[in-house]
Amino acid sequence: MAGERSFNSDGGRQKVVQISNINCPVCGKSVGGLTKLNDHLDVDHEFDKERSEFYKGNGKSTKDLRTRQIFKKHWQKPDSYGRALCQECGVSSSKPNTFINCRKCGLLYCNLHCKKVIKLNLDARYDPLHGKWYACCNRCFNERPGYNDYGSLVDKTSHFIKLREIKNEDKRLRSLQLENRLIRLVNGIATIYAKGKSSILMNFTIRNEASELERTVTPWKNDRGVLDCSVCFQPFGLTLWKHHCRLCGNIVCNRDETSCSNEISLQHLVNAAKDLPYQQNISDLIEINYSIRLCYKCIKNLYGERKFRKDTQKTKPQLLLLCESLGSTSKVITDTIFQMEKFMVRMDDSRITDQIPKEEDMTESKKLRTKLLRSVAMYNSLARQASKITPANNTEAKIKISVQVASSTFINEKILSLKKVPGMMDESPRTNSPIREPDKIQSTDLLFNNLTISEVKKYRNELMVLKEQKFLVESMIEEAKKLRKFDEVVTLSANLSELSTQITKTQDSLGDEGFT
Amino acid sequence: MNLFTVADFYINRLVNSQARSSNPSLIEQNRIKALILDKDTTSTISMCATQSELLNHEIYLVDTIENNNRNVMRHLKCLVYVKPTEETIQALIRELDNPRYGDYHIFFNNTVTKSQLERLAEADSMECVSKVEEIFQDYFILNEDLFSFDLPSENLFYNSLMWDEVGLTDCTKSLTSLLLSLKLRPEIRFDATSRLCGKLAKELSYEINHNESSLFDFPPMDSPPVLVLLDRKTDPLTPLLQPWTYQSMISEYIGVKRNMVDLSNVPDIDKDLQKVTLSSRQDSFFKDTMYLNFGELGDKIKKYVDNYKEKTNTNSRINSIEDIKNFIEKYPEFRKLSGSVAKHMAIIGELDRQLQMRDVWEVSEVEQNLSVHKDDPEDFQDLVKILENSKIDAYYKLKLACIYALRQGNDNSQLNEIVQILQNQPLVPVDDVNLFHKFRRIFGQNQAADESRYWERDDLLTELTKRFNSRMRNADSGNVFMQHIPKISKLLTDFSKNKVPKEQFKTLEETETFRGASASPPSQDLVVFVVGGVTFEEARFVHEFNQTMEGKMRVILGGTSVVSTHEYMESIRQISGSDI
Repeated sequence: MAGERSFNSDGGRQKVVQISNINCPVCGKSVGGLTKLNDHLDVDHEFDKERSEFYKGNGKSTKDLRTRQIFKKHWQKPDSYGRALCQECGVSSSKPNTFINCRKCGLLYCNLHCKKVIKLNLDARYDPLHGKWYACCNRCFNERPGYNDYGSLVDKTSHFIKLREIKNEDKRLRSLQLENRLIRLVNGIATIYAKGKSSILMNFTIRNEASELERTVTPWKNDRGVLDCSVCFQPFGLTLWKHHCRLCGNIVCNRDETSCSNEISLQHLVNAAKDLPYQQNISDLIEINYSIRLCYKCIKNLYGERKFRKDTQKTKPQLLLLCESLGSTSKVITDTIFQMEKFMVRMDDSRITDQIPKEEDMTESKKLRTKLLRSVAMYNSLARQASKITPANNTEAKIKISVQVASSTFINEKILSLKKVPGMMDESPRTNSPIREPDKIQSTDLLFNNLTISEVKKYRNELMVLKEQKFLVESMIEEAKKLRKFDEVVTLSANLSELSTQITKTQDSLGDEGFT
Repeated sequence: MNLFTVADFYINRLVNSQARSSNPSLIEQNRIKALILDKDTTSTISMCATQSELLNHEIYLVDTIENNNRNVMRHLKCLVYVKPTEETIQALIRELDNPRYGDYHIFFNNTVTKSQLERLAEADSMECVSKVEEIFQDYFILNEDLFSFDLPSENLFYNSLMWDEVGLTDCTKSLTSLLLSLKLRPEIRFDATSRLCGKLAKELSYEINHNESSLFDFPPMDSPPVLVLLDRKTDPLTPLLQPWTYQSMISEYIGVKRNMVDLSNVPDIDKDLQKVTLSSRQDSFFKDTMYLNFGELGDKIKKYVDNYKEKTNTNSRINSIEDIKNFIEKYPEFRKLSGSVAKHMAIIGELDRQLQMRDVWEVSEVEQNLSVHKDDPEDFQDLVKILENSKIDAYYKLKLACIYALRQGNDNSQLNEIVQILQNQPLVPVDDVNLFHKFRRIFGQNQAADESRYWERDDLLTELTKRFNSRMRNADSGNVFMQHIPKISKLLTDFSKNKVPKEQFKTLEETETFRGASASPPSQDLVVFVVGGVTFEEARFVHEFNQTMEGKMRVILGGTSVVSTHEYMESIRQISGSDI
């Protein structure tokens, strides 16, 4: 209890440290010196109940007082020499006045790092509503619940789905009704056709019977009194005729530009909704050559969702497939790199202790390396494939551009940094020496024997640039010759020879992978 | 209380969004995502996330909801992030009626009303929406401690005295979203002299305590956060002075809108540099220099360029394959650096050109002297000299006159003299002289009445104590061009000492709940919101204040917009004379 005692009560008798003017961490009032601060804290802010009570009006029994004091049992004590270590800055000191216990966690801190205040109850627990202010450390200050909180959000999904269910119930009933009507219509027409096949007046009777059937499926709206199309609200007239939708019976126009209604052949109707329970086989139905007029609303109601589901079930366009495989390959590469890095740390450790790497480690490392190289090659070829696809529309074009950007940044960030890897992995089995100095050279050797495709690409680019430069220099030499500036020609030809040597070097390193 | 962390949190939430109930294999099926934004959220996203961050999350398509020419791609999963305005709800309804993508996750950046949700639910007959979520980011983050709503003053107020209905609602909503995103349920204090602030405070507290009370159900804090509402009119001086720090100078001389700097007016500018983005998040050089003054900035950019040159030198010495290899390895980093160097060189070059062209050095010195000294005859002589100088832009003359009127408003004879000089100048339009009179009418009485009470009690003694007690590390006190200290500095210092008078900064709740104790310590979290626009200069003070306090007190600054001197003068011009 030494630290606490000295802070609270013996403080007055201790030598005052040379701080003349400090601010109270609670109210900001400036007080002269640490001792005064202690007094101020104890009395004005009731940090030390005992003392403040004493000042205010002594007369209460000590037993009563003890129950009202803040919990202090968990306070960290200075070591046996009276030295204490600040938990935050690590400064140690034996002067009692320079240290203070965080009232919450009880650890010792120097005065600098225990300046925050917190509301605590008598059990030294955080109590934002009924607690009293006490000094505390930065950690306790920051760990208060809600202090560093952010990012409210409200998930409205279930609410939305509930609303949607209510709204969609009616719609579902409506489309069920329409489906039933369609089935009746299709079945009726099929029977009429089956009957009519034998008749000589086939076409005539079929037409008659079918149009009669159409009127029985749904009551047609009365022509009179209807002035506008029920879909586009255009007034009917000499050029804009009235038509009845065979499923809902509403009166609509048949303008091409709005396609308020269309005659749709049975074949299409049946094909687009194969799931409905027709009496006849679908293959038989398709053969019937008959068209039914449907309005826009009914078409959308019946077929909109079917089309949507069908679209999502279709096989994906190639671009998207490539995107996805690029994504998974990149995941494989990053995973493998991560594994290899872990592996290398382990190998390094074993090297430090002069141990020969284990056999299984070596095979493992080789496996990882081949896996990595293979996936890098795969990534590269996939990226190239993606860039070759001709986009079907604007959206695909945009996606394609993004994919190209993504793959090139991936190559830049991940694959180029890989060059150091294979050397480290491969050197140790032959030379058991712990010295890893020749790593770099070996890595390049290895690479040139074993170029990854991305590197080949890079070198090819390099080569191209060099060749271009060479061409430029050559033309410059020609020019200089024309202008008779022979001193320039000399320097330029020196450049030219340098370039040529570099080109040959690059070509050598490319080897078989060079341009053909 | 770092706005960037909040933004990161929300963007992560957005890009990693997963439907709750659908089976995981289906999610695997549609991994490629499209991100559909509206005109507001486009800026939000572009200010907080880079393209490559989006690409990393396999967002390969970004488009706007207003664009009707998008192709149907029903294999894509679509993330919709919009502000719930009438316009975007309409567009969303159209979209859901004939969905272009297979699966929709809808995010709103503020609360949606019940009827809006109902209409959406009705439109979704294909049941392609699998998630609806409200996140709260209906504001623009400029710095880690500065936000803006980007609502220009013209549309917000009638004559800068009364709120426009729509403007008030927008402002309240945005402010609510800010508080929600930081999970603060603040005590509201507002400038008692401002009717704008009082009205906003009332609206906001109604929103917090009634409309959205369930959202504001945060755990109680021992030191409740405080929201301070200020009125730009209380400190008209700060937005009138020429600024000298990097960020504010860019805003003043070049113009920056939602982190986009438009350099297209700069003569001989490279094509790639016509529009550049500047964000303290992605640009480390800008992060280091945004609060530096022009002199310090010069040193920094010199070092930066030297560093760059050194790198180019090493890069140009390519003699062996090994060098080529090194070069290629470092190339992407190098290219990034060279882009950044070119960008900052272009901006600083333009700033320098503007400063020279407009004689800002001269003007600013007089401005600063006028704003800090009281009744100095020497300053007046300087002022007259500038006013009579035919080389200097009429705009600066007008501004100087306004500053003089603001500071030494008591001497009518000298003001008349200024009017005389202004009228005699051939290049100063009559309109400007009228504006000067108007300015005097607006701020003349205002100042006289209020100043004496809280802001300006500075006789020599208080001035001295202010110097010593101010918790700002004022490194610039010796700088002639940065003598003026915005009032917000005094306000923050007072808050940190818990000495803000109740009469000047009222609270709405009359009954002080548990903070009644006499020795309640200063508030720890402060959001300062300036109605009528905030300046980058003030943002710098807030930033420095935050650094000095070391977490003891955290301040976030925001405003209806960020104003430059031009914008501020323009907003005064908008006030029609009859209503003052």
